[in-house]
Amino acid sequence: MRIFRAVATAGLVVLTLMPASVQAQNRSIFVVGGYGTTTFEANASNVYRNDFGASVSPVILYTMGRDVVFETELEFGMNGANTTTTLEYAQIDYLGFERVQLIAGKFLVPFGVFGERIHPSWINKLPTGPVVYGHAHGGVAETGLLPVLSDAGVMMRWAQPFSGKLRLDFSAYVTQGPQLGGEDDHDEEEGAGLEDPMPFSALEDGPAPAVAFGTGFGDNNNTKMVGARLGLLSGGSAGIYVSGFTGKYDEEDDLSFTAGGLSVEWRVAGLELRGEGVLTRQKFMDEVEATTETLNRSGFYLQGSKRLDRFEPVVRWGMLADGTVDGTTTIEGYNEVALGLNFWMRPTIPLKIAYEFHEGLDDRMYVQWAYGF
Amino acid sequence: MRQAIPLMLAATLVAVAPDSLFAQAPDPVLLGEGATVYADFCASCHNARASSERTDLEWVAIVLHMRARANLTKREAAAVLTFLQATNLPEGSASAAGRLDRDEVDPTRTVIPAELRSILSENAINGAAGSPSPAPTKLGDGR
Repeated sequence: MRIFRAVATAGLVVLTLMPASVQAQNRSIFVVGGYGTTTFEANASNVYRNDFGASVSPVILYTMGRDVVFETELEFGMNGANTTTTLEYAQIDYLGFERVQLIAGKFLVPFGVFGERIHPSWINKLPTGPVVYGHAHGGVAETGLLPVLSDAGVMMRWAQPFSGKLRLDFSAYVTQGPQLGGEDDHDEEEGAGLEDPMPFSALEDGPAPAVAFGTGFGDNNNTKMVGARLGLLSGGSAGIYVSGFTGKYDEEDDLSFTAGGLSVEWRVAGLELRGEGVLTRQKFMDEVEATTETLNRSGFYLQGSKRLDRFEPVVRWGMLADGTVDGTTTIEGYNEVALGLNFWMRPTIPLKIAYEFHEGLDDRMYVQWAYGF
Repeated sequence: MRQAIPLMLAATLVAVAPDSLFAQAPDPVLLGEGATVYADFCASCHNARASSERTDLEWVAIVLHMRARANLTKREAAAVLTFLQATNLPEGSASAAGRLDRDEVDPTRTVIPAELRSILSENAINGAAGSPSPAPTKLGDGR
């Protein structure tokens, strides 16, 4: 009994004297963050045709030691009388290596830069996304070429710094991949009287069927999507990325969807310039001719902003080129220009106003208040 | 009773020993690197957040999350964490100079103790992406 008491006492003393950092090494940490958004959108020709919208995206982090973290983001938004719920990502990251990361789960696919890093409302400098990336709802790009991509699979990341400020930023992934998109049941989101601002809807006007990403856990075919992104960065002032992925979206493994992208960014003295170009090639079955055709689409956006103390003017030009099948235009191209002015109440709380010119359609006005927490 | 005294004493020591009692001073080289990474990579996507927004422990989890998002190396993440924790305010700090409520923090500036400002780039201080960035000096340079 004496020996037991002596050992117990010695153990407690050792525990007390153990450096706090060693104790903290093994402590799991739970953190809640995220962002919220409220947006007012109006038809510039008739401001009485307008909508209020709101959403909140909580981010939950849970660490297991210092090399493993579980992270997830949900998005709750408005949809008529209902509330939409989207799992943006739910992933486990192994960060035990110096330059390599291993990630599994549902994650934001590293295609381009906007989807993975810039789309949160408290980071995006305009109330809307660029024309090439439609808002992700059910994983179908109701507008644009691609949604903000989120899919389930595994990913490996590698960072290689060089002398000076040069570094390579590489990511490669295998995910479920694209599937045939479902019917559009989200018309209510547009609200009273506001039509879709874009002339093209993958579900209505295109010759090829809609393709969805990250819509469910089951893969509908034997082919996974594979992709990668390679970036060359110079510190935080400049970067260029090349991205690409390919996968099959039909159950018979016959029809492929392939995308490629180029992203550039440059920052100096409060001025930021960024741009992305995207190409997509989608094979589809022409039911009339009973042949396999390819829909080719492309688009880009360029954005510039300048920080002036708490104010920040922003301008963005986006264009979708004509969609073609065998050189024949099947989808008309489209241009839009957005002018915005942000007031940063805090580093993570922007108040944004913007005016968007939409080619061939009514212009739009936006007021958005975003809160990163 | 006499036999229980050592156990009671040890238990009391465990209960009252603060984490800061044995806290180590931040590695000055890592601190300088962290300021650079904070200004270059964190600020390349979003405005710099005041380190006083979160506790030191919360920053551990957040930096891991950001390491995955920004594809930082392990050392770069450790450096940013060192910087955030070094520039964070101690919890419960009541001094007039040291205590800043979140609402009082200048939203355009990272909370940085005066003695560290000389080693940090303007990007880190201004909290604005792309602000003019003179090369940061590191502690120990003698400047």
